[in-house]
Amino acid sequence: MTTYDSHNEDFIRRMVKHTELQKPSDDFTSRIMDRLLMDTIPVKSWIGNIYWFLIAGAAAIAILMMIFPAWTFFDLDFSIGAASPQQFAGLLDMATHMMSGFSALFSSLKNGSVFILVFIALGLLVGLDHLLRRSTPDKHLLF
Amino acid sequence: MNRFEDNYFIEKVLSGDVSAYSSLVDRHKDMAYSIAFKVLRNQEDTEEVAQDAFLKAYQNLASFKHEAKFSTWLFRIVYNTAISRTRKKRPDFSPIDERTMGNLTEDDIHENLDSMSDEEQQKHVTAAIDRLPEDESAIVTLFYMEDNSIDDISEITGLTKSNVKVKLFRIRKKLAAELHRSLANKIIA
Repeated sequence: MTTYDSHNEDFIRRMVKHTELQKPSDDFTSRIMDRLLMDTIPVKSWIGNIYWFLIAGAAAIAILMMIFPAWTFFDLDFSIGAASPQQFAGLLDMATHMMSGFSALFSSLKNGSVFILVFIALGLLVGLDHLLRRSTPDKHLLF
Repeated sequence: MNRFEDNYFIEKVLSGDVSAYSSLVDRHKDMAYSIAFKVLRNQEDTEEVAQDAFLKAYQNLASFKHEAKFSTWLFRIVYNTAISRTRKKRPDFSPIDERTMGNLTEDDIHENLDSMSDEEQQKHVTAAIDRLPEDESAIVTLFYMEDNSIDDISEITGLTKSNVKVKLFRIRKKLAAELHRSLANKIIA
């Protein structure tokens, strides 16, 4: 900045100092509050948009697996009309086995190891959440 | 404005206390109104645009991520809402010739400034700011009256930082020229 520009800057600062911000009408706040009380409350969404996409994707895959023939999953046939109550019962059995497997795995670990695993899992979740939030900044608020 | 206090009220609103939003409105309404007024130059439109902007901010409060100050985020909404409105109704203004400096020296002007009342000086400055194009007028308000940083102004207006700096440089020259001219006329009269 040259001396002239610096002088200009001082001059403008000195002059602008004498001005005041414009004031809205006296009932400005109450009119806004009246309008927004008729609106919905902007509560925080418990689940982000990206998670909705993941859930929708998983649901779509599940529906496709059920509808289209020649899908097999752990030797279970999901052809049209092939899905039977026995097969659903089989799936339930398999899920129960998997859960008991996990349960056996955790019961064989010492308490300290379980805590370490839980902390690692929580850390990974926090890290993933942070990454997802950073990848969707609110730069779109141009209105 | 303390951003921690803003965050306190934001959290209250998000947890269901709608009335806490009135505190946010009260804290920022003068600046929000001034930004909109500098762009629109019309009280009726300004009141409507400023209210709309506060409502938009309320509706999108859950998406405010605290990466910037709440005021910066809010003023961006105000500025964009006002600019959108001017695209529909463009006001007339006479451009300032930044080369016009009047016949009086700087010292003449400064000596006579002190003899003027604050009210008179305010009248001259407001008139000079109002003769700037709407975006420049809003930048002056943000920079000189609210002490926003170049980064904040860049965030609010959507201009690059270097563009804001260039605009501020040109605004200084234009404002100084206009103030010199109007004060010179006053002194001569």
